[in-house]
Amino acid sequence: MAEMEAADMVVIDTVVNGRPVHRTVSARRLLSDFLRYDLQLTGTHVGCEHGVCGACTVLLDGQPVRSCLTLAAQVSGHHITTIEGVAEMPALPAATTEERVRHLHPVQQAFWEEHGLQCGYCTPGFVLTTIALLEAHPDPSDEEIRETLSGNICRCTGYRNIIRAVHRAKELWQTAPSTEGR
Amino acid sequence: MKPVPIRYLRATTVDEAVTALARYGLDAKVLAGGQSLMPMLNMRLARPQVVVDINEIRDLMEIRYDPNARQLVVGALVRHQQLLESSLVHAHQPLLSAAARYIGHWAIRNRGTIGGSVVHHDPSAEWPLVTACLGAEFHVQGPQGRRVIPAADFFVTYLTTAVQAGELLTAVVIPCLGPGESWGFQEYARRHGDFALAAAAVTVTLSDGVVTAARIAVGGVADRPVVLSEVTQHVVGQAPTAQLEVQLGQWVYDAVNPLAESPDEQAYKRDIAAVLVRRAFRQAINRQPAGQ
Repeated sequence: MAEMEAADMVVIDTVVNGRPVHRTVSARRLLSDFLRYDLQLTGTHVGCEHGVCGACTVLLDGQPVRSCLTLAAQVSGHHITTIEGVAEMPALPAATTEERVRHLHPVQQAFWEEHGLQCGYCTPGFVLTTIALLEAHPDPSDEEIRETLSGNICRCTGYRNIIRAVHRAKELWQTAPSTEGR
Repeated sequence: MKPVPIRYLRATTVDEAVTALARYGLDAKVLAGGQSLMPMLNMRLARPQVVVDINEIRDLMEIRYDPNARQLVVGALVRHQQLLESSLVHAHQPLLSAAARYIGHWAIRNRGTIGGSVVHHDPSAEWPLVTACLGAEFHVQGPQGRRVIPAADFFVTYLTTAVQAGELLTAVVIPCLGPGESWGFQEYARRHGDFALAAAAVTVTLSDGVVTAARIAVGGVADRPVVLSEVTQHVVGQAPTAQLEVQLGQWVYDAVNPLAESPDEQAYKRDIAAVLVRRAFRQAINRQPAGQ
């Protein structure tokens, strides 16, 4: 067995939103900061940075995790999905509002329709958690939704519209299942 | 809120991890699910020089049922959510999945591990309580080889266990529910998913309407989980009547000695412990098959 050396710089090979990413990062780089600063994927929001608020939730191999409690070095060999990766939007910068709306993920669409957000800071975490929930349980009860989303904090909405949005997302998902490969 | 500069090492086998821990000694911290260590790194309460990541060690990820010894062998890296969902756990020691439900939130349970939780040893956490209650055994591997630590010796005090520097916890071996044995689990926290103010785990074996064996443990009331063996002795041999439940509450109230900032707070915590044990005991009795 080769003696292994602890390193302050780490080479990582990961897949972010379906695209291979090869980078060298500082060992202490948090996954949240890697996404935001190194990949400019600023849709992942950082609230508390110690695992309480859920704003920075991303999907690691399809499962919701706190990106602020994960080192970037740890995701080598794994798949990450951020809010930028849930809807397929070709030629994003040129897209008009109408085009963007047309390409929303059903869960995003539902949050929009049901006014499941106000300031939007917590929304990426809620949307990704909801996507993972509906992929695992396509028809969750009200209580299951509340239990699942209890790890995400929203200071604007009072949650009622968020719960409504998840119910709406169930309907939209069943009628128009998401087609993007994750 | 960022970790101090650290060096990172990804171990893919137990031997690699143990070699790395021997090499870096007290400068190294083991990174399992990271749901306690990462906040401590972010807040700089922990400042290790080296982080040994064990998340890719496949041998530690499995829950195995040993039918001969009637026990579950739970790899140190098994995530809380795995324990919550595992059909082996549901079939052989459902107390574990009931307790897992109380741990943090979904995203936390997807990463946090049983090994990380017991070695971190917050005395209000669920796994220290449950493993102490059930009399689990802890398998560790270090430079001197392997050893097995019984639960009674494992939890030393706050954030301290019998695992020595250079050692790695590899598995937690948990006895299965016995014939005629049922269980209860209760926890009280101020907010859903928060650390418990107190929690109680109880198992009861009934035969001919009389308690023949029991295990009663309380978490959150001391510097480690408290197994109430004397209280258990009072219960054994008795019929599980409403009167026994009331007495049980009083015994628990008298037996626990929670650390608190005031006499009122101490009485409050004793009350909670007593109520939770009574409820967990009732749960266990109600789970007994009819006719017992």
